[in-house]
Amino acid sequence: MSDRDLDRLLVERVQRGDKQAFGLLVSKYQRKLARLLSRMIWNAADVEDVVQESFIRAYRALPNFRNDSAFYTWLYRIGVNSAKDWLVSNRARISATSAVDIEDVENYEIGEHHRDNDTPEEVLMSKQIAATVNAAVADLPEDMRMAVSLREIDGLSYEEIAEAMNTPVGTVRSRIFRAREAIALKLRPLVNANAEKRW
Amino acid sequence: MKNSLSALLDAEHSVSELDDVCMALSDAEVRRDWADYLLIGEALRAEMKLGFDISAKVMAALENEPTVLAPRAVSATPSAPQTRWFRQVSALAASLAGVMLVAWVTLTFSANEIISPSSQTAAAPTIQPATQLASATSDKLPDHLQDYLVAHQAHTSVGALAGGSRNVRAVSATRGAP
Repeated sequence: MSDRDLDRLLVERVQRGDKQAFGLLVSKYQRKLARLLSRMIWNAADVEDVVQESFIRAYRALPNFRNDSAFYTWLYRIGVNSAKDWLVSNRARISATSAVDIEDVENYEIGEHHRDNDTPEEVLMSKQIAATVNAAVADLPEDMRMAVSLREIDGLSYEEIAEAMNTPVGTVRSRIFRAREAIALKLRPLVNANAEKRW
Repeated sequence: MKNSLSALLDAEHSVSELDDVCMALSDAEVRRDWADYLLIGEALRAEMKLGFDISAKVMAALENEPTVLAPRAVSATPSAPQTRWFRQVSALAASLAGVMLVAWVTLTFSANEIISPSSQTAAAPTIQPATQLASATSDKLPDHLQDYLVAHQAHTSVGALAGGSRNVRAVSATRGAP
């Protein structure tokens, strides 16, 4: 099963009335969408608002989603349209505070501009999380470190990892799970500071 | 549960594991583990905005939204060969039945009209169409009347539903004429 198939299954659950399943998709794509929209919107707080608006719009439009495209592609479109709407409706404020050319919004190409618009606190938090995770990975036994790296960095499937490590698929699954748990144990004290932000 | 959650994150789960995880989402610990595992992956890939998390705000906002209930999408995959075969045969059978019906109606009228003049007079003692009477009594009519009746058969009410059978009857009547 591919990542896209998993999203389809989750979307189908939401379409059948399982609102909680949408939370899995929000957690999964919120940062990806925020990274995308921060290229269009300068202010970090505004990015947060537009990402939230995008998810709400997506949830409302979900009955019309027919899995013709990947969920993320569809969400991406909603996000970009939400950002464009936001930029148009905040024209006066933006023109006074930033160099964004509203006239070019409609022709905006994602990837044209990249802005590092994180607040210093966000930058610090990102660095701390990355450092904690990397330190935790370095402390893992070799077999677990390799399994989780092949999965998360190289994007290999369990079957491919099993072949690469000459191990049964069940063992790969177990190693990846145990690696994640070991890393999460060290990460939790740090992210617990943001517990109220988490679903 | 954590093991299933980890497998679900990698889309390597079983069908029952997805159900189990979704059923357990009311448990804050399950939701926390899901968020932690996602964050670990993004940190390992050196992605940005790791401190960004608005999942609580989004889900709180969705509390006020009506629950989504969408009809099941019709499968976009092509129909099974068995179903396709059945549809083709059904269409052929329907076409054949239509042709047979038209043929039966046409031939039934034609057969009634081709019956010989002598048998028609015997079988139909009461009211007879003008053309049949004309055919039945053709041997008693003068030649000019016989020709007149044959020439005007197409305008009689009997042949109105028969379509092409009018021509068949006219030919047979002509043959029967001396």
